[in-house]
Amino acid sequence: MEYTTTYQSIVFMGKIASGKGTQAEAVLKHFGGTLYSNGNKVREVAQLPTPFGTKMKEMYEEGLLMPEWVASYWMSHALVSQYSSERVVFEAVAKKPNEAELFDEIHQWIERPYVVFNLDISDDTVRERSAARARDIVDSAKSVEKRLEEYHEYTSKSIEFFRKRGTLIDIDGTLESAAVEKLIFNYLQS
Amino acid sequence: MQASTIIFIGPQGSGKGTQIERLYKVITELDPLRRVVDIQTGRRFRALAAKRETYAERKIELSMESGALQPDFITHLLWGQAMLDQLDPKSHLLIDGFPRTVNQAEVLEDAFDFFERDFLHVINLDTPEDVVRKRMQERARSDDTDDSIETRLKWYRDDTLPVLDYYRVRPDTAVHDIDGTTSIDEVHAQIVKAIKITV
Repeated sequence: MEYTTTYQSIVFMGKIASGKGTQAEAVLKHFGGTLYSNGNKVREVAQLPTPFGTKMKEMYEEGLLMPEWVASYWMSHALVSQYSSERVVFEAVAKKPNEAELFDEIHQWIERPYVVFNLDISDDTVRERSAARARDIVDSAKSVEKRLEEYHEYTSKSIEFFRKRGTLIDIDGTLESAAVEKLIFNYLQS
Repeated sequence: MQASTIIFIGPQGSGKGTQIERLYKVITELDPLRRVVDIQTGRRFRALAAKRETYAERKIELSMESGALQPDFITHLLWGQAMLDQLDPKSHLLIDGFPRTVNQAEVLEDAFDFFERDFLHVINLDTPEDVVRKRMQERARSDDTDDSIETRLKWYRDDTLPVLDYYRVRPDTAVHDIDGTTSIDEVHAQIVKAIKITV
């Protein structure tokens, strides 16, 4: 951890395959903190042999956004109890506009500074990158299209919300990952 | 007996906690094969405030002392945890302490949908403010100061009464208006009759 920043919550937003995971990892490595990823959490609970786990597994495999009450609960829990005194890097959070409003409300209530990085790439770049990496069922063409649809319907509105709040930083996600990383690191240290 | 979802709504001091305990016992005896999940956010709030470890817990304690309505996300944190840990579509569910705002009721819809709970019983423990004031002064819990009682009555009027209106027009919902001024036994009998469970 060679760098420091005053931001306790650092959020990455962007379409599927926009590099959120890579950048989150780089920030964690150099600034320290804990990764908060709805995707990882869903994959984790989808393994549980409980009614909740089974249902989450079905939703994940169909490429649906997780239910709002679960997303809000996990987010509130992370910020208010679990990681209240740690830096948290968020990957894929606040995808729906009310989650973004909630995210902002919680931060104000607990007086915790945050910044949102928007890794901007085109839909065609999403398709190319997903086909190339084929990580799991979520990278299948059908699932990618579903996620793009949800991005345009919901996530783009969350991004607009953060932009209006003055907490959003736009980053060109088509740049080489080292260049993207440099832009992010510079901002965090400024 | 089908898995039921029963929401208790009433001002503080209307006897929700006592009535939930009685109903819990009746349902457990009638339907021993199903779990009865009982989620009371008031108790959970008090437990959280008593910890006083984090900034949020201290802030919750201060809000409780003043009687202010806690932010929706803190309430959500408490019931979300309970549902995630204990609930499944087959259990009976008894709820007290939320939803306290229409916004909370809307988020709760999403959870009901998830746990396949279409039909709701809403028990409105209708109790005039004078009766409630007197009861709260008598029970003398540490967060029941005169000021906090008035503040809580005000947010009940402003924020929670609209929740009843929300449920009165919700499809698949029976709102039961219960006279909360009678004795504990009588209120219990009214509730059992309203939700049509036989002892």
